Amino acid sequence: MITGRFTSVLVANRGEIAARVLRTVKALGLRGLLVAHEVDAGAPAFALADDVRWISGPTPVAAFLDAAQIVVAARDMGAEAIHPGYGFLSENPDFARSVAAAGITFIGPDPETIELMGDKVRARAFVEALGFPVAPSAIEDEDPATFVERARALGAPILIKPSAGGGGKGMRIVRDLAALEAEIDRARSEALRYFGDGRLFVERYIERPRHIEVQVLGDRHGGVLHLHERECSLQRRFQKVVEEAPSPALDDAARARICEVAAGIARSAAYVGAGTVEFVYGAGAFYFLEMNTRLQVEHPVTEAITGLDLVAEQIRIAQGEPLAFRQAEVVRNGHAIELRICAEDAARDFSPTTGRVLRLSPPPHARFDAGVSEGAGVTAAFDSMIGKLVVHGLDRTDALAKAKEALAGLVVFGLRTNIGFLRRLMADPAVTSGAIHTGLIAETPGLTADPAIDAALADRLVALAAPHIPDLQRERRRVPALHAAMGAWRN
Amino acid sequence: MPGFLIIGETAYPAALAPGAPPAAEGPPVLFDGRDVWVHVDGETYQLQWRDAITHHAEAAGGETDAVCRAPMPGVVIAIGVARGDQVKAGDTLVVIESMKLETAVKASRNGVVESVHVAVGQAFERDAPLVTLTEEPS
Repeated sequence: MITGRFTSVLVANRGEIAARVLRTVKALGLRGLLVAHEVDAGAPAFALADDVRWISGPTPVAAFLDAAQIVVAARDMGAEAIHPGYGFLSENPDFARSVAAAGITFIGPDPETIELMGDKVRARAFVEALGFPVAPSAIEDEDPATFVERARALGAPILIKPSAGGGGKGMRIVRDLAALEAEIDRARSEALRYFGDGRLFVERYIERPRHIEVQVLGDRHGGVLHLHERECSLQRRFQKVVEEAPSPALDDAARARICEVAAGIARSAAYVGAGTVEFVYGAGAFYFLEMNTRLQVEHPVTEAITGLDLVAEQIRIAQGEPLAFRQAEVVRNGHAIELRICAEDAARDFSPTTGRVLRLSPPPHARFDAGVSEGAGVTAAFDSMIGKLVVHGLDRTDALAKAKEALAGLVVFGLRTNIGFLRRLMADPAVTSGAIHTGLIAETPGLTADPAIDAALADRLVALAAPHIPDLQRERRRVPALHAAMGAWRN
Repeated sequence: MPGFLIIGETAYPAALAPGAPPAAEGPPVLFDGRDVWVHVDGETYQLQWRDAITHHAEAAGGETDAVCRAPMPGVVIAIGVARGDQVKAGDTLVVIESMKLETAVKASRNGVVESVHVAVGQAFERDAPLVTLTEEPS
């Protein structure tokens, strides 16, 4: 592992996170470098980068997964460090190794840590051996012959997951154990199809679970701290869409316990860098889910309540500096909410939309981390997120009010987005009361349907729209024949 | 030329009175050549503009379900038919991948494949024509 001060940072990523990392890189007085695919030309990150190299591949995504090409571009630009962002190669231990082999600092944990915590089954075993809570489970690999028996012994409901899985693919909930074997067969065939690996594990399923995660930071001197928790229970298609901090589910005692468990797990793994320990929480109990060995999409809510810049902390840690504050100095302030603004149609099962962003005007008084610029096209090449709106209030009620105000002030023209859906979600009684869980959006179909437009609103829209249509303006300026004739009369 | 603004399924006649003032300062509105985007009371609305001739031509039944269109943006995984094939309603025409899920695009009625507009591996946007059918030969 290479440490020591560096003067330039390459961002091996795109979209809002590339721009967000470069903002801090520039603020720290370092050179900001970027690799980019041509479909993203003119994106917000370009204006912040001191140098850019194009990368390519069979698909735009493939370009960002091409470690060799990125390392060549990094050396060509004289990059002394690489920030991987999230997704793509951010949790790929071989990428971290090839960066180090090129004499460049990888801003993230050591490859061995990524290997240990990145494998779901291995990470669970590690955490369980430490005596921390994991959901009661049965792992097929441990003894394939008794797998079904051991799964049945957990008692319903149980959740079947592919060992090689991610992103909700191949997961099945079993509430009636009579169907267990049939469901295992189906999960195995899905796992084979998605991941080429049919191995499974099952765990006790928590009904209406909440997703709570804890941000941790570790330095190279053995210092490990937590930066409090985030709750990310509002999800659609197993993907987070709204995140907040602190969690409305926890009292001070539960909060202290979950944060200390997370810091304990990170300490035991000798964790270096920024990471997130994820938990499933329900009925007063919490279980370790997985650890993400990178910066998360939702890190801004932690930044809002702690006043810290997590990218700056990652860079200082990568330069070998010790953490500059103690646990007691990481103070929570107020309540923050992040809303992922996506090009998608909530009324059509959140299917992605595409088009040109004709206008993008962020609201005042809110942080908006934009991934696209006005005039840019949003294609199906990457994920559907076009930016993140982050608000910070005195308390949760204040933050919800600010979220609604910010959503109402955010204007995106040119393609359908989830902004209207998010406005309805922020006003939903379950959300305002804090009684949220990962299935809430799926069980509340009223949130996703487009509201009806009554005659009065339609009249108003037509009156506002008509003056902007050139055909109608030409009509208006044409002097009617009768009036023209009258104009010639003289008495 | 006067015309219609379509909101959802309803077409509203739109006109400006002669001598009416030009567009006033107000909520954000943008015309992109086809649609008008209006942001009012915190909500964005998309209105489709149709001049009178186009609107009446469409209302007279120009567009039928002869053209099978993409329900969402994606990539073509497989094509199940070729030009001249006879298909029945419900037959799979094209398999597409979108949101990492495979979806079969099926024929909405009986007919003969007049043309296939896409190739395997090709990316497309929502509403892109995939396959055109003609009437069954009598």
